[in-house]
Amino acid sequence: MGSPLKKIMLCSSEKEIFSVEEQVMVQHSVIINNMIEDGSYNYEESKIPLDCVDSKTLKKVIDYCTYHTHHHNDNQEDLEAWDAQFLNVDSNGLYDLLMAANYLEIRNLLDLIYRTIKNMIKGKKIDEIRRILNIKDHGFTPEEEEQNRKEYPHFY
Amino acid sequence: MESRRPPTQLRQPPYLPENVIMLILLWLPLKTLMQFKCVCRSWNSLISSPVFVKLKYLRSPKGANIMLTIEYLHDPQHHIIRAVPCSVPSLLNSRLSAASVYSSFPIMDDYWVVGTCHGLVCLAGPIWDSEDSTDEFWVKIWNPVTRIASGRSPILPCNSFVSLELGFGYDYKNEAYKVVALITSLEAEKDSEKCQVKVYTMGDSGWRDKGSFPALPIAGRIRNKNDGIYITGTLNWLALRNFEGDNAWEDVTALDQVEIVSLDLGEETYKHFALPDGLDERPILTPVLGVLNEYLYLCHDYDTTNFVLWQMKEFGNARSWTLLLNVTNEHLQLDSFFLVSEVFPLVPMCMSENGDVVLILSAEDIAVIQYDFKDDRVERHAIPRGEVWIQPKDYTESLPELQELDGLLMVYGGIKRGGKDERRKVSVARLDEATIFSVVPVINLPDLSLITTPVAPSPKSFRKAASIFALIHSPGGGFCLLDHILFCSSVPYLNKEMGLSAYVVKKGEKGFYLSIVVYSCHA
Repeated sequence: MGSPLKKIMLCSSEKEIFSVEEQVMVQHSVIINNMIEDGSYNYEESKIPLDCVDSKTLKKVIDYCTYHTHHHNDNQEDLEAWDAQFLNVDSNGLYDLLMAANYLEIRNLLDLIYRTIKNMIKGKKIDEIRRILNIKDHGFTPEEEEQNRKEYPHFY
Repeated sequence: MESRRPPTQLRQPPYLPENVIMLILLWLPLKTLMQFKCVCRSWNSLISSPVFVKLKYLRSPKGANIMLTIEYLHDPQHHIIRAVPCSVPSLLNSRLSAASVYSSFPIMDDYWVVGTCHGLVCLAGPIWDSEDSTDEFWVKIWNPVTRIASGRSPILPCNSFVSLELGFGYDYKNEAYKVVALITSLEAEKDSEKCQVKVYTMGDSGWRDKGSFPALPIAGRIRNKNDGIYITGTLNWLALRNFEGDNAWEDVTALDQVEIVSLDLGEETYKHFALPDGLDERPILTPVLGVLNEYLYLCHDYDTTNFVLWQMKEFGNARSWTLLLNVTNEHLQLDSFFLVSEVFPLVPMCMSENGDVVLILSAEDIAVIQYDFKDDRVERHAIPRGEVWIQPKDYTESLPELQELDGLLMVYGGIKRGGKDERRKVSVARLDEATIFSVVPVINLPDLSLITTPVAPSPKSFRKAASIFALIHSPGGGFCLLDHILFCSSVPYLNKEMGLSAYVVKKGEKGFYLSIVVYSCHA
């Protein structure tokens, strides 16, 4: 484990550099933790390239990790309220966060996003889910689709 | 440097990888999932896939449902019986009429529910001959969630039997569902051969002889069968040590002759457990064995005035019998006149998750009695008119397709990066409800060299692999059949504490790959 004062550099897809307390990322991201632990990160020179994470999303991810590092002793309700506010983003923003959290292996953030998406689709009609998740090609033959719609009209 | 992406406002939500979809869907209830099969073909196959089914089963709350048999009396011409899955929370909220969850099993024949296992329900019935008698039976397997039922099994012949006890469960060793029949007859040459065992492995063409049962099973009653109780890979029956007398409860004179015989479905070996020490007077009515919230229970009357309930805290350990309840019929607001009934014995129906409340079914009194352990309070709820409720069985819903009745293997061991020797000793153990967190190795797989390249978002994450579990789906056992294309891509975790990592082997162009799926197990 590195000292809490050490900083590491993260590089977004726009090649913008973010300097973050090492401890914040090590605690939350499995990938970064592994890099630091196996010594493949050089404090003088390395910038961790995150080619699939844009600056806006990376900033949010860093905000999340920073907040949860410094507030992990807060009561559960306050944390949940903060999380809810944090995820109050449009669906594009949510997908970007999901992809970033997935890439960086930030487990509690992923957990939070999965539950949020679950709540978005739970109780929805199938046409709505297809719209929400942008499923254009459902892959059923027209006959199968028609059959399903006939059999379960209340699903659609 | 330019952004590689178009501006946000023009962008559509990106495609979600299948493992992400899976992890989201695992949060949803089965009823919703059945509906979501219509969203698109890939969701349909994902939700039906054996891996998904098993992960979902492991996450399903146990003790959330029971399987009830309900007789409907409103049409005396057509006496109808149904097996009905009921939600325990709704029963506990005393919404008795809202008990039915999604489907029930109506058939005109006489039949009964033998037992349930992994979301599947085993039904059995007789084949009547022209003289309205029978010595032949069938079984079939039904999934209430998918509403699919198998055809009838090959005929089970029970020539000149006096009693038939069945049992249904899962054999983790051979990864098969089995139905076991104990056929007691009086025509045996030797007393010790009075009870013959036959085993039907799902998919086989007939019933296999398995010799004599090492005890005499207590004869069940029409509505109170002594069918085998399934718990963690074993079937359990009440039985008598001595073979000399009859196997009806009335003929039992010495209580020390009564025991529980447990059949391990994998090894096909027997164990014998004693009844609770504190049970020292012979109950008047046949005691009942069952499962409540994953524990074996035994309930019986005391001199027909009390209802007594025991729980085996540690399965297989007779010293762990714990007295849960000993309460008078008066306190349960039952008319004791009715209670001297072998037809409708008092049985526990279900228990709240925290064990504070138990519902006791009194079919004779047409009532469900709610007993609150905290304050010894009793509340009586009437069963809907025209219905007779019997034989509540422990039941956990699940989605297995009937053709995919195979097991889970848990593989643990390490794949380490670097070094020339990619072969690693990996132990494999069967995964069941009991062993998720304490796995015992049963097989060693010497040849892991098949697995060539670990593929992960960062090979570095494999450094941690030695400490986490892997889960491999294997229909036939072993790695040879692992060419199912399952999930690939990265390493998400659902829950820091309870998350189990699962490595799934995928066959790629250049050999076998490992990828990772992760799920959380709520203990």
